[in-house]
Amino acid sequence: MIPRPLLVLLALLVGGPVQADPATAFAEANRLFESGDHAAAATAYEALVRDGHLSAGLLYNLGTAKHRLGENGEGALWMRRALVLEPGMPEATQSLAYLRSRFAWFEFADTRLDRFLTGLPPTFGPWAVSLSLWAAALAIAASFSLPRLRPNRPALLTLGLVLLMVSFVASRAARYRAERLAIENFATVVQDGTNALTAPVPEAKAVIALPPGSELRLLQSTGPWSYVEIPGNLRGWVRRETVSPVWPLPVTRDP
Amino acid sequence: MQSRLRISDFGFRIFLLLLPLAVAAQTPDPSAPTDNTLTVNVLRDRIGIGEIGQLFIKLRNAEATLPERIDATGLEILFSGQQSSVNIVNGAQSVETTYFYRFRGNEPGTYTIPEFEIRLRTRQGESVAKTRPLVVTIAENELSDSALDATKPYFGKLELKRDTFYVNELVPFTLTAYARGRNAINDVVSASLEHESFVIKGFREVRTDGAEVGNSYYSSAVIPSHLFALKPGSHRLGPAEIAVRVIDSGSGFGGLSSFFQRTATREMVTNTVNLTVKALPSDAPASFTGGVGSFELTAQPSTTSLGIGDPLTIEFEVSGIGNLRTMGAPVFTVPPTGIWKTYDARKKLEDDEDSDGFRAGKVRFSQVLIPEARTETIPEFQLSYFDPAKEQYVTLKAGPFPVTISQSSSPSSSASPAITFPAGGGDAAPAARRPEPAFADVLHIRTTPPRWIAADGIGKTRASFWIVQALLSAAFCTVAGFGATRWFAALKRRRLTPVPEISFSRAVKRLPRPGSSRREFFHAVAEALDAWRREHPAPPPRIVEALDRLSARCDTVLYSGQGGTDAPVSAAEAEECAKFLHHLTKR
Repeated sequence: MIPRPLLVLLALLVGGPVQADPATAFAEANRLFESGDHAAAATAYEALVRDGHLSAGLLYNLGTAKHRLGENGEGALWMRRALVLEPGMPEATQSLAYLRSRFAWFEFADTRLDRFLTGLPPTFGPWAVSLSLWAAALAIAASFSLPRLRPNRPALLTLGLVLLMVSFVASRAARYRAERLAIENFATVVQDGTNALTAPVPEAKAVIALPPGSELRLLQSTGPWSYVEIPGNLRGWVRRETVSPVWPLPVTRDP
Repeated sequence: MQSRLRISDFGFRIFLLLLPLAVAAQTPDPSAPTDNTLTVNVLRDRIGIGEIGQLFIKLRNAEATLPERIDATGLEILFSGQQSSVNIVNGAQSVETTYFYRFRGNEPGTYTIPEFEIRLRTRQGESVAKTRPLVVTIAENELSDSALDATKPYFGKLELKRDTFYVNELVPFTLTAYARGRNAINDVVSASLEHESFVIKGFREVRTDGAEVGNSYYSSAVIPSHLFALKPGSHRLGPAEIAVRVIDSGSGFGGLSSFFQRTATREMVTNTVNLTVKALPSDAPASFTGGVGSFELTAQPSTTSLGIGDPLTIEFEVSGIGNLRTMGAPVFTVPPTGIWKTYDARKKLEDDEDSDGFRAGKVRFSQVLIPEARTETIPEFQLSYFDPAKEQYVTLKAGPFPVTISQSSSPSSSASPAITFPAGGGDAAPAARRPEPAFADVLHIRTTPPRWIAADGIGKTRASFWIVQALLSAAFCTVAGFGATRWFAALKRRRLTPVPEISFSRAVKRLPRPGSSRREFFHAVAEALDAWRREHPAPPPRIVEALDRLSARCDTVLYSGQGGTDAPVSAAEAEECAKFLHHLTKR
C-alpha cells in the first residue's frame, strides 16, 4: 500500500494542481456551514463562484452565510443573485421577505407589466423584433413576387403591416426592459450607514439613509460615485463601494 | 278729645297766617342776586382697571353746551347725560343742572382730567368759566380687594388656578358675578374676556351659589371656562365684563312680591390678573405636534392584509387632560419613500369630548396609508407632548403593526376579525382562523446537488439566433430575387416584342370558332371592338351604345373573376357576337 500523502504528492508532480470537483467542494462548504463555521463556508462558496461555478443553490447559500456573519447587505445581494439564476426560488424569496421585514430596506414595486416583461427570457427582445420584421418583409415580398399569391395581395400587405407594428411594439418593450427592468440596472446597498447624497461630494446633504439590502437602480457612474434611483421616485448619489450591482457577478474564471 | 281738637284748631290758624308769606316767597324777585357756580368732581377718584367712574359738572343758574368727549391722556371720558332741578331757598329760586360723564382707564396709574373752558349762558349774558383739573387713580383690582368690593351692591371676579404656566397649557379659570342679597341673581346675560395672547373658550355653563363677603350675603353666578396662552411673556388678563340680570329688591306688590319681581340688568367688570407664560423648552423632539398636558395614545389599523395600492387607515385616539386643540396627528417615523404613501391625517375633536383642564378629553386622528411596495410591517408612529407637571417632553409610540401585503389588490381582511356564529345560535365553536406564516429567520442553506449554469450563457444571444437570421434573410432574398427576375423579364419582353395594331376586318377574321375557350373568344371580340373604335373616331350614338354593351360583356367575362372563362363558348353566343361585328363591317 502506498501512503495517501505520497499519492497526493505524486498527483501534484504528474498532473499539476488538483481541480476539486465543484459538487464535492459545494458539499464541503455546506458541511462547514452546518458546523457553524460560517466564515469558512462563505470563503468556500466564494471560491466556487470565482471559479465560474454558478448555481442558484450556491448563490443562496453564500447569501445565507453572509447573513450569518452579520453582512446583511451582502446576504440580500447574493440571494437576489440566486433569483437571477432561478427566478422565484422559494428559499431566496422567503428569506428575503424575512430580511426585508427585519431591516426595513427599500425595494422597487413592480407593476403587472413589469412582472410580465421581467418573466420573459432576456433574449426575447431581439428574437421578437427580428422574427416579426422578417415575417413582414417576406409577406410583402411574396405578395409582389409570386404570381400565384397575386389574388391574396391585400391580405398579405395587411399581414405585413401588422407584423411591422408588432415589431415596433416589441422593440419598445425590449428597450424598456433593458433600460428599466434588466437585472444589470439594479444594485444592492451592502454597507451599513450608507446615505444617498444630493451631490457627488462628501459634504453634500443627505437625501435619505439607505438600510443595507436596499434596492437601487443605477443611472450613472462618475468616478467613485454612482447616481442612483431610490424606491419612491427619489434620486441621489452614493459611493460606489457602498453598493454592489446584482448582475453581472464579480470577475469569475472559466471552470 | 277736646284738647286734641283745640290743638288742631291752633295749628290751622298758624297755617292761615303763614300762607300769604309762602305765596309771596314763590313770586320771583327780579332784583334777587344770581349765583353762577360751577362745580366739577368725580364720584370716586380711585377705580379699578376697566371699571367705570363718574365725573359730574354741576352748574347753578346757568346753561352750557358741553362736549360729547373730554380728551384726557390714559382715560376715555364720554358724556352720558344731564339732570336739572329747581331749588327755592328763603324765597330765592335757583336752577341746578348736572352734566354726567363716564370715564374708564385700561392701564394702572394716576391720570389728570385737565381743566377746560365752558361757555355759560345766564340771564346777564354769556360768560366763560374754567373747570379745575382732577386727579384720578386707575388701580389694578386684586383679589384681595374683596372687602372693598363688598361695599358695592354687585361686583365681578376673575380667578385663575395658576398665574404661571406654559404656552399651550390649558388653565381653568372662573368668572364670578356677585350681587348683594339672597337669590339676587336671576340669570347671566353675557360674559366676555378677551386678550390677543390667549385663546379663551366661550362661556356656556353657569353655576349659582352664594357667599358671605364683608359681613354681607351675596348671591353669585360662577362661569367656569379655560384658556391657553399663544405666546410667552408677562401678560395682564382682564378685566372681564359680566352682565347679569338681578332682582330689584324694591319691586313687588305687597305680599305678591315673589310673583311680580322686577329685574334689572347690571354690568360689572372684574379684577385683572397678572400672568407669566413660559415658553416650551427648545429641545422638542421631531414628533412633537403641539400637545401640552398628559395623554395616552392608542392606535388600530383598519386591516392587516391588503394589496399594493390598497388604502389602509390607522385610527389613533389620544386621551388625557390637556390641550387637545393644538395637538397634531402622530408622526410616521419612516421618511417618505416608496414603501408607504401617506396623506394628511384627519382630526376629529368634538366639543363635548374636549378636555377642560380638569376632566380628560379625547381626540381622534385618521391616517390613510397606501403601500407601494411589499413590506411586512407598518413602522411605528410617534407622538410627543409636553408634560407641564414633569416639565419635559414625553414621547408616546404606536406600532409597528405587522401587515401582509400582496402584489395585487385583494379583498382586505379586518385586523380584528369579527367572530361569526352559525345562524340559530347553539353552542357551536367559532370558525378557526387560518394560520399565517411568520418569517422569523432566513431559511437554511440548500444542500441538494446544484445544477450548474454557464455564467456566460445568461442573457446572451446564442448562435441559433444568427442561424435563424441567416435562414430568414436567405428566404427573403429568394422570394425578392424571384420577383425581381420576373419583373425584369417582363420588361425586356415588352421592349423587344411590341404589340402590332391590327385592322378591324382582320380582327373579325381572326375570331376563334365556336368551341374555343370563352376567354380566347371574348379577348378577340374585345380586340376587334378596339380596332373599330380606332378606325371610326366619331360613331353615331346608337352604335356607341351597342359597342359599350358588348365591351362590358367582354370585361365581365375576362376580368370579373366569375369563373367559367375556360369553358367553351357556345355556338349561339359566338354567332351573336360575330353577327354584330359583321354588321359593323357593313357600316
